[in-house]
Amino acid sequence: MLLKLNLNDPRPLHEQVAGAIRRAIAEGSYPPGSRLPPARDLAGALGINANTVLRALRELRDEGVLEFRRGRGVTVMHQADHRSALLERIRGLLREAERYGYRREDVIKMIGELT
Amino acid sequence: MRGRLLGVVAAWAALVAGVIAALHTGLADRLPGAVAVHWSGSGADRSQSTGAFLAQTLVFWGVMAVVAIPPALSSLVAARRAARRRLLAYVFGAGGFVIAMYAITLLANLDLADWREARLPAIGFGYVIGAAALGVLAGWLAGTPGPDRAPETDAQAGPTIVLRPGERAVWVSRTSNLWLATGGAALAVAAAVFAMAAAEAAAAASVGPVLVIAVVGAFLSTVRVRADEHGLSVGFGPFGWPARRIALDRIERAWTEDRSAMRAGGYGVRGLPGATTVMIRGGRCLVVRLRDGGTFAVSVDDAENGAALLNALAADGARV
Repeated sequence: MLLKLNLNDPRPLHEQVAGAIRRAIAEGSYPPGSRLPPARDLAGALGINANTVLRALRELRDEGVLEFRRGRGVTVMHQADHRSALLERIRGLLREAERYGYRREDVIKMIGELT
Repeated sequence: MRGRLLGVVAAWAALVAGVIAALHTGLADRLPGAVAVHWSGSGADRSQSTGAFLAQTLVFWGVMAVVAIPPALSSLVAARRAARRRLLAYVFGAGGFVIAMYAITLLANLDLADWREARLPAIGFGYVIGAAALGVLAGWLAGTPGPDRAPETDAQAGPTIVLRPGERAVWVSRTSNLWLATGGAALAVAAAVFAMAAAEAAAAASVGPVLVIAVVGAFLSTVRVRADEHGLSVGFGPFGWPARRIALDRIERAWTEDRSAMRAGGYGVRGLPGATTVMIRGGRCLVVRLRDGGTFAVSVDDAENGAALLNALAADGARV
């Protein structure tokens, strides 16, 4: 799993890690059903605390991108590649909207007004 | 595809068990209470009750079949024709072997009053080998239809990615061989049980080498591979130790290549210094060329991304 972190990114570390994993899945190198490297390995490679990686993994599970299975480790959910690609772009959209002074609700409203 | 493979293995396991049980019930009336189950030069020298022999054969078959379950669940095995053929050839061949062994043993005891009179014709072994070979052939044919991931190589260009300034990139992957892992674990358990059951200390001690092989097998069943600004690191076994490290400034370029265990010379750490392959499973390998002219390869999932990152990092290092 290829993970890229921007050292100048002001966001909390766990969010950055979640974003990096989301992008790696969106790029398709981890197809649905495949198993992620253990959090310990990811944390060791990134030089960060394993709990930070676990927090990122839990966020992705709550988003429906990952699945935690006993004895099988962390696996990629069905269709998670599409889903995580979309989620990553939506997050980028929200960040951009924020820069222009739009709130989250404004963006949701804009999407609702689209036909 | 994965479900289909497991279905075939399970159906075959049930069929073989059914044939063995049918042989037992069908021939029970014509067998002595105890059947000869082992022969030496002078004739039959060991017997078992027919029920115990049936149970023992079924357990033996059960162990042989259970070993095939982890690879039958693997999507990698399902996607690759050679791996499918190997798995089904093993399962079908083992089934043919067990059925033939059971059948010739019962037939040798047929219509006898006492198991000591049982004679095993020399041709019996021919039947056993023939049945196993037929099974292997059937399995090989059964594994043939279906998808096959084509072997590819991009040795010329080598993939790469764009690294932006202020960006830190790492790549981690791991690969396990379920055959080696389950085989090693089963061997270790069997050796331990034997050592505990052995009456004499000398017999118990003879298990030592088997235990060593089992532990080495378990250690070589998993590798964890990492690429980052320090270079490439390959850790063995469940704890990632021992590890082999290659510093980034020693790496010239990286690419991926399909290699088979047959070509690498088996599983484990293969080849000579300067041309090493860490072969955990056949298939996609990450290969690096070193500045001193050697190559190092490791079979690992997601190798394309690892090669791309190493190329990008090596190019960055050369510019600085």
